Amino acid sequence: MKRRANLIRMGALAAAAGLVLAACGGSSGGGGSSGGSNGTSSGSSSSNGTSSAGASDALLHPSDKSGGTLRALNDSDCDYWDPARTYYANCWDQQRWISRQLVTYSPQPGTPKLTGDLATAVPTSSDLKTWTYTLKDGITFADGTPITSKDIKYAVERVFATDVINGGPTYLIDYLDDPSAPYPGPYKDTDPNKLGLKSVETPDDKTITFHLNKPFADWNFVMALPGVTPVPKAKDTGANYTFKPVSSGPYQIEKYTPNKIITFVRNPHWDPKTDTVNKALPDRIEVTMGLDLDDVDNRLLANSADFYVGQTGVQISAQNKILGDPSLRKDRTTNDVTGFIRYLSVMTQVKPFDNVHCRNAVAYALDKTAQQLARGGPVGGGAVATTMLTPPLKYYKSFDLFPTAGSKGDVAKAKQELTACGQPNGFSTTLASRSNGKEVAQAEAVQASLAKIGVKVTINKSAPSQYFSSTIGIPANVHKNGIGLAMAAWGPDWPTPYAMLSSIVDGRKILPAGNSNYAELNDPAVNSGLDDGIATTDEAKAQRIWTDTDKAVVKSAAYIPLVYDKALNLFSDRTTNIYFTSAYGMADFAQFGVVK
Amino acid sequence: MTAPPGEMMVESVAAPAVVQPEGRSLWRSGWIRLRRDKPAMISGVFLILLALIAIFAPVMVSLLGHPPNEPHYDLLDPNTAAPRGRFGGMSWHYLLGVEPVNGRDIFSRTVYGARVSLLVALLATATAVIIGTVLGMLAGYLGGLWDTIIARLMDLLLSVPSVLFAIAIVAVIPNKAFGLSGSGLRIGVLVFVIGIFAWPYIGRIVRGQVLSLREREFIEASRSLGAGTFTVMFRELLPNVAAPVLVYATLLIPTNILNEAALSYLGVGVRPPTASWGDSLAVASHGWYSIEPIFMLAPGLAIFATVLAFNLLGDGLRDAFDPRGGR
Amino acid sequence: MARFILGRLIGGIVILWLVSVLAFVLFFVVPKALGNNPAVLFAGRSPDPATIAGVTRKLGLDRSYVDQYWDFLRGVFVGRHFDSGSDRSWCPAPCLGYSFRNDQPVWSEIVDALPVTASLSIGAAVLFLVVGVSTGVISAVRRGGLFDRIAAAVSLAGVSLPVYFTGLLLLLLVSYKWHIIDNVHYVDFTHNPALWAWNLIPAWLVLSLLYTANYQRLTRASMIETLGEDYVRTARAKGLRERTVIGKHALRPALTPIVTIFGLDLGVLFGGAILTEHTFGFRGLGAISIDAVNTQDLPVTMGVTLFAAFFIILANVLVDVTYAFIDPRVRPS
Repeated sequence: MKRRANLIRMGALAAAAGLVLAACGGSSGGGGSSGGSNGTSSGSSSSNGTSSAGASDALLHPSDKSGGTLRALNDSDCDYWDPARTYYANCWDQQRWISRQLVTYSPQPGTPKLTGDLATAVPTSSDLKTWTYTLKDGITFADGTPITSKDIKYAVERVFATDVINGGPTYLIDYLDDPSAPYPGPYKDTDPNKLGLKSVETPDDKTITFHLNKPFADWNFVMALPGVTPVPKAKDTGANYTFKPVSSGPYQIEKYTPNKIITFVRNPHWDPKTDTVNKALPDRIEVTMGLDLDDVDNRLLANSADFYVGQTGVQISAQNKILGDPSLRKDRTTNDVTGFIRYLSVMTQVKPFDNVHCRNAVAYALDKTAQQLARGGPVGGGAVATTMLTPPLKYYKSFDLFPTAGSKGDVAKAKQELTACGQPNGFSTTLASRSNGKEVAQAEAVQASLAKIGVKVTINKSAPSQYFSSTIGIPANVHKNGIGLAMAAWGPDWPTPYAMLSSIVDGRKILPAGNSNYAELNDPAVNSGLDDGIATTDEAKAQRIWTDTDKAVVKSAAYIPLVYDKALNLFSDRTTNIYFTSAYGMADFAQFGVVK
Repeated sequence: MTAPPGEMMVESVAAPAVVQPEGRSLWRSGWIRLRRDKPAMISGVFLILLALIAIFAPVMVSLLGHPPNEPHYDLLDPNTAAPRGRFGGMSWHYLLGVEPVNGRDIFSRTVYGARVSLLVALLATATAVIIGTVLGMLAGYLGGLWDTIIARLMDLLLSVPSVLFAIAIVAVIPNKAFGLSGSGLRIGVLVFVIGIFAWPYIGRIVRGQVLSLREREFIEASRSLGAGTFTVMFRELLPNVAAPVLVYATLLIPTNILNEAALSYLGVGVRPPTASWGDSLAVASHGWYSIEPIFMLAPGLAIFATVLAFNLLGDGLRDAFDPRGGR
Repeated sequence: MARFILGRLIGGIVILWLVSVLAFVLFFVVPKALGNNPAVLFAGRSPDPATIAGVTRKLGLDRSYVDQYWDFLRGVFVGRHFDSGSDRSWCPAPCLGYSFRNDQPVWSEIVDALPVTASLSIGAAVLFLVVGVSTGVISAVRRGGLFDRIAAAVSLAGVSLPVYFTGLLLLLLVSYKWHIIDNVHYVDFTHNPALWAWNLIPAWLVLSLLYTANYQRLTRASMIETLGEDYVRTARAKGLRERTVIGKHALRPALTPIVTIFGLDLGVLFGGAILTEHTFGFRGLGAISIDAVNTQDLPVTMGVTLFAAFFIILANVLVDVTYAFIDPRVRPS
């Protein structure tokens, strides 16, 4: 009996050894096949280039043929389908199917212009404070009732009811509210028609005028956000409006099961004569949600779906396949700089980074190509960044204030700066990062770069949901935990410098909670640059101001640009009119068709 | 209620037989039986070697590899962030190739991974053994309300989804707490969450043993000679439950290794860039395994070999010291 | 007997209640004590204090812990309203809370994820039960034979392999090497039963490998014991066919402990096979609970925990009661 037990276990050892061998055998096969594909991808490296920054003007598969079902996939659901509450770029893009705003982005590749949508034209304002829009004739909701200026005013008012309508951008409150008598939103409005917001006037059903509390050159961009989509007061269900928003666009929601599926059918009351923007080619749109991202890629590769709504690029397995297949790459993918930036926040209120030389040392020491690799390389990850304004933005201009050979970092210069900072032998600090995906790899690369100049970095990772709101979004936490460095990322709400910079570098917007000027940069040159830039109507002057402001931010070394995000997005072989728009930092969903 | 073997639970806890009170001869005869058990002995030798590798990891790596956290970007394809060459860039200088994205030496990281794995698993097992033995003895010997409370506590801990709770606990622990910070704190937290859900397995066995030992003559004799509760517990009972505790502790170690790896795999393990097998598997699972299987095979097989060795050794110990427990 | 069952039921309910208290403390009290305000997490990007206050009120986070816990408990039985002053959402019983992130009752998230988890667990359970018990029986009958030795070796290897390693290995082979199933993903049973099963096979195999090993060992041990019992010898002596002896007289009593463990395993699996779901990208209970932990959607974490604990405890109680029916010795006097 005992002997047998021994035999059995000897057998187990042998079986284990066999398994090891089998697995190794498997690995040799795998190594062989992927070695081949690696070879191909490095072969194509020259054609990929390293940093072809700038929005591409390419238009893939133009077509005007309508019909069919557009099948979209997503890993998660939208935060909200209520146009006033959603804050995901891809959801804003999806909103174009069911919502229209006063103005919107023209359907053209690259950097689009604003054009009238519900309004007849894009207005100008001499004082940048008074903006008047005139509505088109014949515009209606999906139930056939005409859209009036009051429906738009009501929609604007909803955003003020932050206890019910929250989650979305709050620019409307910032520029329209009277701080001495804050407007509580329509649900608590004492006005019988619930139209008590004084700063918005609707003299007739076709006219709406906004009186801003301060000059704002980007106002028309705010009017293109989904937050100003008209909402019929009679059908507003408050917090539940997200489940059944009333359509003003070419489609309407047919069926919505949260986290599972949302389907759209044509809106019979949408009049193409009033709409110069939406192509509305497919007869039907289906968005399947809650999928694993590798599953999404595989379905797209197999052409059983048309595109990925998230538009953040394919996963590693699919990327490997695409890079090894030039025709797939050429016909069915886009690879644009999205406008999103990955940067390192260097906390100006945490020692020793209160000294600019210590910040400079970090800026010189960082190997930005390592950051690029951590993001996934020049195709799947992005391009090396040297400015805080990203290439698809208006007024973007390239410069490099901390040049190093091959962007790989300059140890000698960094050490000089350390000496100037009084820390010749380096120091210890904490680097905060989110615990998911590529950000940990980025943090490890920062750690390795700084180790070369004697700066010892401890990585402190936290849950993605806590990260911006709590870990680095509360300055007191940052100081208490001695967080000297933090991985950060930002995408503008619309493609202008103000949208990019105002929330993240304005020294007067350092908040005790919900702060997004993480480094607590308070530089007069930056602050006045923001004020002047947004108050000027002169293009040349604006260009100069914004470049100077960008330079001032980078020079402070409180924010070190790392990578301009790029996404390698895959589409089915039948998807038409694929092009990148800087409006959303991704493809323009409103133009897709599925008939070639 | 019986202990449910969870998704990661390795052994179903069979009811151990009552052990002879004659402690010394049991240990000797057990050792003789164990020596004849070749797989257990081979596993034991393997585990001693593994422990040496873990302890002397810096020496190993300086001879055969590169520092585990040192990036080697020059070994990567700049376009794909994957290693150049076949088999993850395997060569004489990089025995198991390098990781994607940062080009760290996989051999070195696998060797260093043994440190985290063994350290956490052993400390967690020690935690479970100490808590389980003390509380199990208290419950079994004192009985009454003590028994009810401790037994319910064990039921409670075995009724909660432990992985989920463990992740939740790890997620809310700040980066400085209990006078600890950095890697020390992370390892402490891992040891705590793994140990706290593992001790009832030991506790139940000890309680069962003590319940049957309580009425035996030598205990009664000791008690009638005026020995206090603690004297009886630690002088008389402890030596007699030591053998089964040792056996089940050995069988608990592989479970704890799998638990540590699972938590790291789910992203709540040790602080980066510390190497850990579960973390390496997590990196591989983000699609890289489909490009180069070595990313998954190195940490996966390391876990497998270690866990198998502990299981074989544990089985051998059970047969040797608890002859009626295993068959 | 009735008293015993009642006692077990009450015991189970007490444990479930304790789990709910523990979960509440862990998910609601501890994070707040450590300075994380859940309302901030769900008030959007750069929220103003009014927004945070609104979210806080809607989620009831401004109330005392005792009140919050009481609301939760009451909601489970009679449902409850979530009210921010200007907005009311109704969460019907069994209300396990309201998801901050997805703005819907936790219960509907559980209902959505349950088919995935159930498909995974039931399929795997059938597989490991059938394979584990049958190989265990053969091993016991042919003790020491080649089959027994191979089965023992495979079992030992099986319990030593983590599912997140075997899962990746199998995906590598099935999807990337052999292209048998190019895209392993969950297909709804009602959508296409054949595809449902086809896509679940790898996950079933991985999950059952671990359990089969346990069942093989357990059945073998249990069978060896019953085969040595007097009544089996008597049956053989009566000249009954070997098949009848093994099938009827030896196997049936040997199955009692197996059924016990099976009930408990199934209970655990219904709470979500976190690692298997994570590895295969299936959105079952395990996956949504991990998501919830990572996004701090505390009510979901809490709800899934209780749901899982409910199954584990239910299985325990059922097993105890069944056992008491089969074996009168278990019943206390």
